Amino acid sequence: MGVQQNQTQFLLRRLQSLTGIFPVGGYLCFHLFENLAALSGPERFNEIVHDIEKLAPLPYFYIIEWSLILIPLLIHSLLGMMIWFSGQPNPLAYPYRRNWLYTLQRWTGGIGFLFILSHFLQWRWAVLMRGTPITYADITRDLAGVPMLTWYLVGVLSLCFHFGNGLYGFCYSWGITVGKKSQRMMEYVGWGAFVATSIVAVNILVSLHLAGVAHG
Amino acid sequence: MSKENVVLRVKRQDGPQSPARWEEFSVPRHAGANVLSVLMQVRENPVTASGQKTTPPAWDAACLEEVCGSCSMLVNGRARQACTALIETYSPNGEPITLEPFSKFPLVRDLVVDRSRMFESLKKVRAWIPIDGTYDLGPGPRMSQKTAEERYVMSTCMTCGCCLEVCPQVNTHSPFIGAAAISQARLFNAHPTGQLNESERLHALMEPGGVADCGKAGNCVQACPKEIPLTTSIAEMNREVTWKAVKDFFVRDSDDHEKKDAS
Repeated sequence: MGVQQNQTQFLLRRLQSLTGIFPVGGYLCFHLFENLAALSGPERFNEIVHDIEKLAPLPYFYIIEWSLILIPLLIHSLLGMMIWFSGQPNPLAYPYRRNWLYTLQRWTGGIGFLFILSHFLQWRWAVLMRGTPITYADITRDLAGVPMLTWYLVGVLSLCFHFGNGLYGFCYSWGITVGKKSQRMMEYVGWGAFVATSIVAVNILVSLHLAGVAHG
Repeated sequence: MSKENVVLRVKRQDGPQSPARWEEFSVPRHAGANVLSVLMQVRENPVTASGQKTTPPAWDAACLEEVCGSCSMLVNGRARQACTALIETYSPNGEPITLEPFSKFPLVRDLVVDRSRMFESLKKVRAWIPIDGTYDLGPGPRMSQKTAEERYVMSTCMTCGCCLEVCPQVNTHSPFIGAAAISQARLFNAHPTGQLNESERLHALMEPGGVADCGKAGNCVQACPKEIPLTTSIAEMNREVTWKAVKDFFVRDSDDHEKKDAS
């Protein structure tokens, strides 16, 4: 016993759990926070987008973007999918609350991943190719259509749920919340985080959509 | 539906490779009957509801009072002990009751499955306390009343397999050992003498299929007939293996004694 230890899977699962909070969950909050600028109108939004792009000089910007956002996000997503496919969800046979949340956590993760992929290709990649920053006008024009707004609402709300429920899961997986009482408290905190991030996200998206509609 | 009879729909299978079939039985209803007592009635006269002679359905049972864990089966699609599945609860107005074998274990025959993988998991996590020596080791250390009470409920685990059957992470393409063995590792680590082998148990839980494979669906704690706080056990073992990993990494060679033991 204890001689040949195969802890790779254990460490990968812990890594998957950790990256979900830091930095991926953290970045979700930051991204929503910076996009609140959309509520302050076109000038302020364009200013902030510009400032963020100039936050760090060039090689550092890419290094930070890849090491703190993209690579952890890929690790979290790919390991997450492996975990998803190792399970056999059964919420219809055993319709308990947490069993539904288990299933939802996997589906929202999958939907969220597709959304982030499309979001990244549409804006970040396009901007890299084009060489000019995104403007308020670009985004409002894009979100003026109801199908695009719907896709954004589905994608972003999936991610907000995944984040909130993931907070509960993180505390459970790392053994922070052991007793029933603390686990229940953490579930409330998770729901709170879901509602709070959802309000911000819906507010931003609806305001961009309405601005787009107004500008025809 | 009549209140005179109990109708059982039983999923039958003659052997692991044989095709499955459904058979319906209808036997006179008695007050206080449970699923096992009705299966015993069927065994006395194995004739289906349509009058065809058949073999008596096979099932496992021993204690008939929900302490042995052997009569595990799916009653109306849910994992539980058949001995405490009262006909009055399941069929107040003569509704038929379906019985199926557990789906996550190798089938032996009819409602009998092979649960030996649970025993293998108990061996993996060393769910025992090594007290045998070549001489009298004397009395062990005292255990506080509080610890004894906490351990008592975990010690009631009867390896029935309900927690594995309902777990989405336990299936043919996953090595997850399930809640029962994880809770037993906690039980024996919480014992003053069992604690001496804590390290081995935690390392076993860090192997593939260990505690990190838990998907937090929480079905185990809902299904456990003994109401063992399985999600607390899993979270506590999660905490212990986290610390173990930190100590293993930062405190080098902390497990030399284990390596010596094995050589």
